[in-house]
Amino acid sequence: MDLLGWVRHLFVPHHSNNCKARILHPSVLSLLVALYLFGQFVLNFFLLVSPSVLGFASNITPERVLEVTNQKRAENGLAPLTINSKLNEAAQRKAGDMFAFNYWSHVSPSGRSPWSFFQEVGYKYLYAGENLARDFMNSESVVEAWMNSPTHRDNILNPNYKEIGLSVVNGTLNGVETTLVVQMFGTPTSTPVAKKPTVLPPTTMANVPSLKPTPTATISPSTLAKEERAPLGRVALAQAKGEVSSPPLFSPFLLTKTIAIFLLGLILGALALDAVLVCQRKIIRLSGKNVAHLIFIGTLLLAIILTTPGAVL
Amino acid sequence: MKDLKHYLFLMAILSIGFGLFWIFNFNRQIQMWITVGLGVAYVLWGIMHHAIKKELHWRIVWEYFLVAIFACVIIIFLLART
Repeated sequence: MDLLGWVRHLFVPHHSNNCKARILHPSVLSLLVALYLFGQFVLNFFLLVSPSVLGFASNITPERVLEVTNQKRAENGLAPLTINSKLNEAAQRKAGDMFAFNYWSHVSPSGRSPWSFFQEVGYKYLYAGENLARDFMNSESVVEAWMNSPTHRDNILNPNYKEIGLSVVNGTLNGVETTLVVQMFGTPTSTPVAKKPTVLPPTTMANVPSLKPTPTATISPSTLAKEERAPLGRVALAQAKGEVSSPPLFSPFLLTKTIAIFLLGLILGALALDAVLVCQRKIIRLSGKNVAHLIFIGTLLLAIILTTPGAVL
Repeated sequence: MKDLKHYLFLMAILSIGFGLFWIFNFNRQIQMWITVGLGVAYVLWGIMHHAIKKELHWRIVWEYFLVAIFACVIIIFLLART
């Protein structure tokens, strides 16, 4: 079979492929799924052996994150948050801990809660909260993503919070160069409040299961590897330099997205061509509805196109 | 168009799913569950549609299942990249 014949066999319904484009046959669809999964496996392997090649380049600064956060609060008639050096330190330690112990969660694999970082730096709070983000392009998109999530939005627009600490840290998480943004909110015990001093119930925190401070002895600060700390008493925002010496060559997310769009687009095109030819030639066959497949795959393709890198927690 | 009501029903399901996917943007775990839900809903729609038309066959069910798996696996692995 020559190349043209092979392409026709793959995309055009005729007797050689049982009147259905070969690429739409279950066996070929299964093969494409298997190839995609194999590609993901290879990419994961590549991430392990050569992590510095893959990653995500971003342009996020703590100063801008603070500015946009306070902008959102002002739009909702709330007082701006002021920077607290201890909270900066706590945010910095949290980010360092996430890289050191390779996790993306409010609670570390050893069960260390965010509140232990508050205690560790000596910040006594009435109210406390934490927002996390990773892999965003710029400061505005980070805050915008938090604002789109009800629990994170509640933290940003919580009138009880008076102070904030921020850190933006580059490092390697699960083999990928990553930019983590940690936002820690607090109200110190010295702040006069109308109600009885207490911490907020878990529902007002962003996905944090427990408010009970974990004993600080769980993980000693000295075990935090690769972490950068702001000098004591320094009020300026802390931004760790991390380990990134040069921007990564390409992002695993963008590579996967490109492949995903190509595969779904290929099947979408084949379905459309098959539907038109079957209709024109009045072919009768036992098969699912191409129109339904087109609508379904088209919807998911649109979802993929609109999916941007970045995650909040 | 034949089966217009069926297709409108399918589009309604997918629109709701897409809307939820958009609302929960950046919450990857919920987005993954929405994707799985869409895949299951699609297979069920296919089965119901062909059963109503009295042309249900295991090969057709298999086809809907594979199309759903194909699209869902691709999107779930993409979501897992962040």
